Amino acid sequence: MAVRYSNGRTRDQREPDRAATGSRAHAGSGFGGVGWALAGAAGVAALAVLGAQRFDPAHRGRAGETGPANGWGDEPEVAYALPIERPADDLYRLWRNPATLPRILGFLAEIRPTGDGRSEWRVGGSLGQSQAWVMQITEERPGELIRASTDGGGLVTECEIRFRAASGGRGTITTLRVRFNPPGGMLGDVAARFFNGVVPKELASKALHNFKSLVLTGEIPTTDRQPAARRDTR
Amino acid sequence: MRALYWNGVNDLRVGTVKDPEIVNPRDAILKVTLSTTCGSDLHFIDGYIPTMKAGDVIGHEFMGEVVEVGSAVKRVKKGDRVVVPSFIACGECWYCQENLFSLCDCTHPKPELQEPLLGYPTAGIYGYTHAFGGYAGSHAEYIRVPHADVDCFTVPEGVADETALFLSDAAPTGYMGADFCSIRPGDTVAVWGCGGVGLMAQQSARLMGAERVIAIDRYPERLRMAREHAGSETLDYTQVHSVLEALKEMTGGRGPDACIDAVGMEAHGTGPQYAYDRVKQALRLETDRGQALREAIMACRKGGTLSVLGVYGMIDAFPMGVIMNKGMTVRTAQQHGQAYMDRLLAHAAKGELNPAYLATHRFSLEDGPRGYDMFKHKTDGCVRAVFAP
Repeated sequence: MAVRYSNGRTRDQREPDRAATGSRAHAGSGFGGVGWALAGAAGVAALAVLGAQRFDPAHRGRAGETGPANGWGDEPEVAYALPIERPADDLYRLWRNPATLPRILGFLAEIRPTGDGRSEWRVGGSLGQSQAWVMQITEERPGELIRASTDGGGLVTECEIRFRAASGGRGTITTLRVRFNPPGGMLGDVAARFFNGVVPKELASKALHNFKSLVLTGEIPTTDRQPAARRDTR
Repeated sequence: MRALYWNGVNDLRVGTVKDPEIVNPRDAILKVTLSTTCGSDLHFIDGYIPTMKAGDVIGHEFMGEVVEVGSAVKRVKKGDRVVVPSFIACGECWYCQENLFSLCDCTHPKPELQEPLLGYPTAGIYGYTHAFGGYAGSHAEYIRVPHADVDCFTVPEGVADETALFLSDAAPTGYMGADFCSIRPGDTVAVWGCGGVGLMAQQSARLMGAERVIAIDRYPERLRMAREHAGSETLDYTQVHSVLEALKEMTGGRGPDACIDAVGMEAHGTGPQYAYDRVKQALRLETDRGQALREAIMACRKGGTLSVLGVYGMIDAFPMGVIMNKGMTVRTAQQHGQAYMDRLLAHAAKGELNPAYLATHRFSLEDGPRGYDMFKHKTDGCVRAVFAP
């Protein structure tokens, strides 16, 4: 069975099967091992119950409707869609604003716009690795699409945002597609650790939710600089 | 400042932490006047809900005084005495526009932790796990309130602090639960649980025109409150063989028109179903004990409404067949407090809703851990422990 994505490409839908096995591995060592390591020991045990339901293949099958890739498979590309209650032209303009990407993707990479559709990206992983690369806008259609890619290396090799009107006048469906090139083909929990505990599918979701908040409210929700009885208070 | 924080399962402490600051332009800082315990806090204190971090400041039901506002705050002013709903809402997204404030799309700083569990992220909430945003809570001297113009509600003169406090969570949750029941004159509404939310649901059902309200609990002092403050008839489930049969008898064989579950995942009960849940939960095979919910489903009349206010994780053994075959309507949500606050403040100002009696025990923040212990074990008839930081 083939799934047609918003950008018109198709590919085999092997997602449910692959997600089922791949994601169970995640439950133990990837997302579970990193994101949920925040929890107490008992909480993690409770997560095992939640996790068993989360990764039920019957549920995962539907993920293809909004996001084709589920974590790290053999094709490290993720897509995520979110409706935003503003016209496509406004969203296009804000995405193109040089100040936007550094804010909404700040949790992933340090991004420095250098003009002419170019930006420098730098990721410092918690494993002591760091990578820097340049992204260049390679295609754009006002109000519809912006695509940027590297001409070779880089952890993120392609980043594409698309806008199309939602049905019923409910704003604009905004789809973010990101293609990764994990160093050494690193997988699972290693990749998750590299991205500060955020695995790719969730990463696209976080970036788009940040974008939506920025568009609608002018700010991004945060726990930075808040009080807590520990060193990293976030 | 001083704050009450979670240090581990069943380990609460009071310590000194940095003061909150304005981070985003729509923020305000409140000096917390009063902050109270909520039954849903017990779920993460007991370790049934994951994603707490040691050092998290807890608490989500509070009121206070505005002491600082961000550059984009227009309506709220320094010195305002305000109450704040526990879920943080932006007021701009489709969900907020539809009055579904606890489902706001723009206030969860960590959607990646929650979306895999729920399919979509909800709004953020103060002091209630990182899966729900990881925001610092209100059991502290000060708290940062994002989107202050949307989430801070000025308390009118004549409404006391202790009344306003419960308009933050218990009252809007109960009110919403009654609203879900689409009450018509002559209706009978049964409410499982006589904690703060259950008592508020009972009073709200009355305000919305229910002819009879039946309250179910096992604590005599709480059942007394239900009779005296909410005008409810009461049912002590430990004194009857079957809640279903007792309710049938009380309603002439028809059953309540609507049933409200104000208990949630750590329900107590009697008999084999309770033993089943308790053992599974102790072994962490399920996160929820759902006896109140199952009873409510069985007892509700055919074609009636089930309104779920109790907090659940991923309950299993849920009797869907009963709901389907009896043609029931199920309504549920985390509270959309912003949608109800004007009505609640009006009821409070007229004296029609006075939740101050829930504040059975008052503590300093330093005594917070003891307050939670009394609240959890209902020691000395504790319905709500209230902290005055």
